Amino acid sequence: MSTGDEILLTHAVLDGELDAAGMLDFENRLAANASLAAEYGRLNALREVMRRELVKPVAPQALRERIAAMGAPSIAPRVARAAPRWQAMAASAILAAGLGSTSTWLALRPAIENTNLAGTLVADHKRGLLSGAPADVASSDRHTVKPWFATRFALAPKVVDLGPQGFPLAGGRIDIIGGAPAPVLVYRHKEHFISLTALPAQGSPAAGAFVVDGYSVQVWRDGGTEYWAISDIDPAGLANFRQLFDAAAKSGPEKTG
Amino acid sequence: MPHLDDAYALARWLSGNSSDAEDIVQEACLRALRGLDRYAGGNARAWLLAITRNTTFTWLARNRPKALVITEDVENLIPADDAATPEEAVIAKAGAAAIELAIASLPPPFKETLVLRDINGLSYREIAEITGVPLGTVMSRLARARGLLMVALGRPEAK
Repeated sequence: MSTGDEILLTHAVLDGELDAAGMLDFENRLAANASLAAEYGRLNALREVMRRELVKPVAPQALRERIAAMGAPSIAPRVARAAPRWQAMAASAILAAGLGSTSTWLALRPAIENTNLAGTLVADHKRGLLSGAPADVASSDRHTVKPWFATRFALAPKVVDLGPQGFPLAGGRIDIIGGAPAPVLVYRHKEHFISLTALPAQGSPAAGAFVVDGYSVQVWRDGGTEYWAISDIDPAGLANFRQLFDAAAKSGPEKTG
Repeated sequence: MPHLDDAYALARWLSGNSSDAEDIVQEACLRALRGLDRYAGGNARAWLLAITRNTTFTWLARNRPKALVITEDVENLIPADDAATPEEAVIAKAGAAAIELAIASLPPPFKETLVLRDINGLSYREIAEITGVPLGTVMSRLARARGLLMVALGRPEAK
């Protein structure tokens, strides 16, 4: 039997509410307790089936128009205008994160020139390395990283573990790309990090490999998602990573690992 | 207005009806605009959802009081025993209609917690602020809501 607290803990794990230490403790309990593992499986199934079957209602256009007609001053600029620059950036990031977690993520991302985009992504990657914390959620377990994203995005990115192939998952973070939050997976390769950003694909297909500021960049598409991999490993190594990730992502719903 | 879809989704699930949800959201937005001076910055989405949630309950109390009948002592209902909870495979096969019916049948405190978490994707802390209950209550309500859902999905008529 599982205790009531363990049941609550199981929910918290699936909701991405636990820190790394708590996760570790929970994983140990899970391994030792078959009935807890069964409950975890059921809850996970419930979560998956709700995600699969339920469509989040979208406000009808007529309602939008009626509310716009109320003369609604947008909340966002109000906050941003009032605050000094740094606070304004933080505030707009919070609001952007709020918007991003709705299904409007796809629609809201403004078109960005690929060259600017590569520069932005490389800068984000460098900042992650400089800060010493390339990931906001540090875990090699995709069952931790995926729920962490799932609580922040309506469309969580595919998370595959490429540990056996030499690219263990290091965690995930959120970067603001073109004013919208974007999920970034962080992989490790020996002493190097790879930032993999998932963006909604739009415009003409971007694909290829190039070098920006000495960093290798790989771009490819999978369905509606455009992946940007940034790393200081050599281009051939990154191309290998791309192939492995693409193959793993396509080999079914995140079965690897 | 940002976060309109979130507000609409919450009102739609809590009221169980699209046209009611439109009225509720419109009223909530009106309240939000009037209260904009009191908006202290911070989490705009949680703020709008808190207003939407309160507006929904006021609206339901006024227009459909029956929807708000709360069973006595709902927090202390005896949890369903394990035998009633279906297997993982049964849950995984549930269809949209069965899930929607099961959620709609939840008592209001459980339903709003579940919707805020699983439809709106809010964190426990945000839900605690919006519904005005301690974090522990959010967690136990969520666990009870999901427990009830699983039991409902295991009933023969849900298949």
